[in-house]
Amino acid sequence: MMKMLRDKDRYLSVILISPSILAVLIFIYGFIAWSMRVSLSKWKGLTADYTWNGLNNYINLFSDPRFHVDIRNTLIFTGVFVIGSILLGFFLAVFLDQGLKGEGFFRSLFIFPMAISYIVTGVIWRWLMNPALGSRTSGFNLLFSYLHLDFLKNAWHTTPNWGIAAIALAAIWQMSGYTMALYLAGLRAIPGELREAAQIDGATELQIYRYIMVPLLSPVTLSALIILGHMSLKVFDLIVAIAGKQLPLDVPAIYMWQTTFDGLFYGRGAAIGILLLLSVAVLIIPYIRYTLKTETEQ
Amino acid sequence: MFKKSSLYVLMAVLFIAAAILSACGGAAPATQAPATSKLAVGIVLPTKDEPRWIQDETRFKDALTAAGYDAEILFSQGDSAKEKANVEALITKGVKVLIICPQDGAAAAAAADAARAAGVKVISYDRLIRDTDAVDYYVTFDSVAVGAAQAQYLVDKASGTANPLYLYAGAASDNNAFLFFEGAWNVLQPKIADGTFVIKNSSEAVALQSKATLTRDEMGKILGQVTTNWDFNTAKNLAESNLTAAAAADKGNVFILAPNDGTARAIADAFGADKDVKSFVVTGQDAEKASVQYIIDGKQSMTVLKDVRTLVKDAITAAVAYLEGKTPEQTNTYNNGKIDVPAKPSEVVAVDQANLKAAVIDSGYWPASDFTGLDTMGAAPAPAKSQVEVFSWWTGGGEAAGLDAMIKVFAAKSPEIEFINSAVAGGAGTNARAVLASRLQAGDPPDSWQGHAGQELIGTYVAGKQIEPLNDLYTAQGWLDVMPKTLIPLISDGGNIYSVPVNIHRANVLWYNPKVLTDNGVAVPTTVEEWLTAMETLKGKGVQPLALGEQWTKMHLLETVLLGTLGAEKYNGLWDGSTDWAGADVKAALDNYVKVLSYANTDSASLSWQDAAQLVVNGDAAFNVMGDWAEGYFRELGKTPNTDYGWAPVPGTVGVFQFLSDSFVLAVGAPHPEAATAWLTIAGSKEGQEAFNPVKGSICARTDCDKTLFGVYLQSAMDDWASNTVVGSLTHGVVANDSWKSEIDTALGLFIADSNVETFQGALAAACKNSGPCK
Repeated sequence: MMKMLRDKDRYLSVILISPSILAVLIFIYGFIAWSMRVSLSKWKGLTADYTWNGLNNYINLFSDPRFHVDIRNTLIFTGVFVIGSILLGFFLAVFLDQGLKGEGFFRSLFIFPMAISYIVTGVIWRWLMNPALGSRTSGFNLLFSYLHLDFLKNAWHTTPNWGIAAIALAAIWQMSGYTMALYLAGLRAIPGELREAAQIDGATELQIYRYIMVPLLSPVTLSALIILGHMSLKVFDLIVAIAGKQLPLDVPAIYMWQTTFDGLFYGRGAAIGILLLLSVAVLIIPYIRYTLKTETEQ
Repeated sequence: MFKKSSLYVLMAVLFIAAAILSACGGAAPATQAPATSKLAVGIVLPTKDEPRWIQDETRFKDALTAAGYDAEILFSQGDSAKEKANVEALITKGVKVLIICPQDGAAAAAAADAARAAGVKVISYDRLIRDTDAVDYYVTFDSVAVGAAQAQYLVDKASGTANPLYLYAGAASDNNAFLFFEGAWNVLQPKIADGTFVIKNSSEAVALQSKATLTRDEMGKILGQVTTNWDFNTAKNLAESNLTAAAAADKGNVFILAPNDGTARAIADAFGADKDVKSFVVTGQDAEKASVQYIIDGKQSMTVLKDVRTLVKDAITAAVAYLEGKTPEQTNTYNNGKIDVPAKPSEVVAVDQANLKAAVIDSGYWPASDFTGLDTMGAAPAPAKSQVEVFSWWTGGGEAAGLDAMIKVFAAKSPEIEFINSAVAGGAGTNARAVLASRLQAGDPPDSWQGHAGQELIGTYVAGKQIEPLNDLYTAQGWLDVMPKTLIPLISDGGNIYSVPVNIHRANVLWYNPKVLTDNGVAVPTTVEEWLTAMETLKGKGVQPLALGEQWTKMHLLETVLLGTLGAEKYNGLWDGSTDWAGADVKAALDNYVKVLSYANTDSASLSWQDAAQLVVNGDAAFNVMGDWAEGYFRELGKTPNTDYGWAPVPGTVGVFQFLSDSFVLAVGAPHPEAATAWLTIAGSKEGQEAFNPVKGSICARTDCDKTLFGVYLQSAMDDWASNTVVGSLTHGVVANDSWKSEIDTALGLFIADSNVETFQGALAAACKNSGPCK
């Protein structure tokens, strides 16, 4: 009797989740498979063309100077964005962890930028980082000249080769509050006894953080690294909102969009898409496996 | 409200003090109504919150005043206790006749009893007071007749057999809903039995279709399947689910019994949106304003007018009869649960387009000014479903306004075709083109779409066999004679013309600030060399020589410098493969381009084209190369031509008109090819182009447009358009297909980053091989 009931429950649960499984199969894995197929084809133009092209789209990409720019930009962006967000987020978390008055207020203040969409952030920072000089100076550059900090004035995202780092600043502004929240939760989870024991042993505040807090927070750092890292690989909207689609600030996602929909190189666009997917997967899959493993162990 | 009503009545009494009173039924000749005459008629209405009862109040007052009686009207405000108090107050004031529309038929019995006890005649108005013998008369519309009138209309409109019939009814909790349905069933059933109609949406009705008279329980079963609950949304959802369940064969020309106007509109909207429904006849009831408009527009077939004024008149006739000591006329009785109440049901009128004017407007039921299209009603075939879907990215500014102006011309010429404006905003067409691409891949093309004339359309859509040649249309409309000869090859492929250009913009325009040039002793340059010298002079005087914007404006500059250096013939050769991209001519042009770029502002990457153009009119820079849409922008800024800005062909391009054009195409497999051709005819007509271009700020593709419609810049552009050699723009899709253009764009972007001319030229040559005609 019990068994029948359990079987019945199982059937019911299978029936209930099958629509979403089906949808995920078709709309995610089905289309991934389709994109892979397109990336191996010669499709160019509006009419679908599945002529076999082997790995040529991929090989061509790696000798494509524009894709080199993309990879370089992605690396710079990821480096500046991830390191910047983690450092800033960590210090904000430590700052809030000092038990200062109005913590709730500051916490909300730092997290709010995350609630804004990248497009909005982009529009605001487009103005803040306006590189115009002379009478048209505005945003940060204007602020710097008011403060007589003229040496800080710069060309922001129009700086040759390193312009993408300026975009990363806007992304740091947006995501450091989130990183702070991660660290704050981590810090709160560390038992007070550890800190007290270290203090009794004569450790300075700096040593406590260096030798106790930071190592204990390493799972948080890993999570932050992965979450921020995969976001930076996919960045698109922020760049378009700040600078439009210009080659010096090109990243794979923008190249994919332009080459597919403006240039109708569907094969090449699909290849870029698959490479993006793989790069994100390299980050995410070990992380998911690690999380699942630790969860089942617990 | 009580006080106000009394005051009103008192005033009315004073006004009619001299009027003839024929009250007390005696043979006595006209007697004067004493100003202090006792209240004769008391009226109790349900609530002031619904417009219906406020209208009734006015009508009762007017009618009783005219009949010479003093009356008082009280409102129960939805409260049966208040209703009883109102009745008692009126009895105390000595009314002889009470006209009452009960808030709740059963709860009003006590009030009626009290009135009867005081010797007052009780007329139940519109709603029947139930379960008491104290009701003397019932004034009502004949609900059964309403249903019968609806059904008769369907029967009259049906021909042949097996017409699909959809039944809908009111709320099962409302007695009237049963009466309406009963009336309809009585008329429809014989026609269902003989095969004229086939019921499509109620299995219960199908099961009972051979029964001429239904019991209340049987009707209840049917209502259970087709009730709208008198609710707009319920009706809509029910109709939609009926349509979803029905096969296409069960649609076609359908007949719909809808119980009242609100539900009729909801149901009509649902049926109108179904592509398998060719036409439908739908009934209604109440002659609501919105439904009268629907009937005028041909979206609802008929309604049953229950003129409340008739009801008021009949109620007063009955009241007057009682006051005169007579008995009102009786043709019918209604059982209220205790007795059969005598009644003479008021007349209802079936209204459709044929008698709408007489029955609704001329009778004064609604004023003609509340409706549109009364005069043309019935002129156009009502359910005409011809339409044309036109896809564009014109969603704002002068473009959208220009499109609207052209749509107006189209609507005037082809009123039978509905224009569906499928415009997609964003990205200067990038988003729209992505949407269009996915629609074409899904085999769901719009009838016509906007695209830049030339290779952008040809390379993409002709190659994909997605647009039709239009040579016949050009010949039939005589467009070959009114458009420049050099234009035609640029919008053709293999001898076929593929699009209808609506407007023309010029790409090779050098905008300059006249004051900056004069102040620095610089003349307007006509050759590239003069231009470079002029910019060097300006640079020496600390003036920003050239204003430039983001990447695409650099491509725009590149194409004009290519044209300026190579000349029209070699420039055209770039695009058909006869000019060598790797050759010395192109090298010279690219060297010129590098020199020109060196005079540009350093922050160009962060400027839009507007930002860059604005630098010139504001005197912050001397030159800017931009298409002539910039002129519209200058005007928006309030600048004056020839004072704040001047223009010339880009140096080296005098006598050449580098054009771009928005044009419309005819889709292969267009759902409405004839309507699409009608649209293209307007797009290419003098009238259509004269409507569009002055608003958009461009010139006509035709050379015969009225020059006086245009401003001073556009007039000069029109002269050049008619006389110059026409070449196409690269950036704006005329000369290169999308793939080629995107490769050039990438090469240019890399060049801007590394400034290596050799690599750039190599990449341009490779692009022509990969995506262009070069071998």
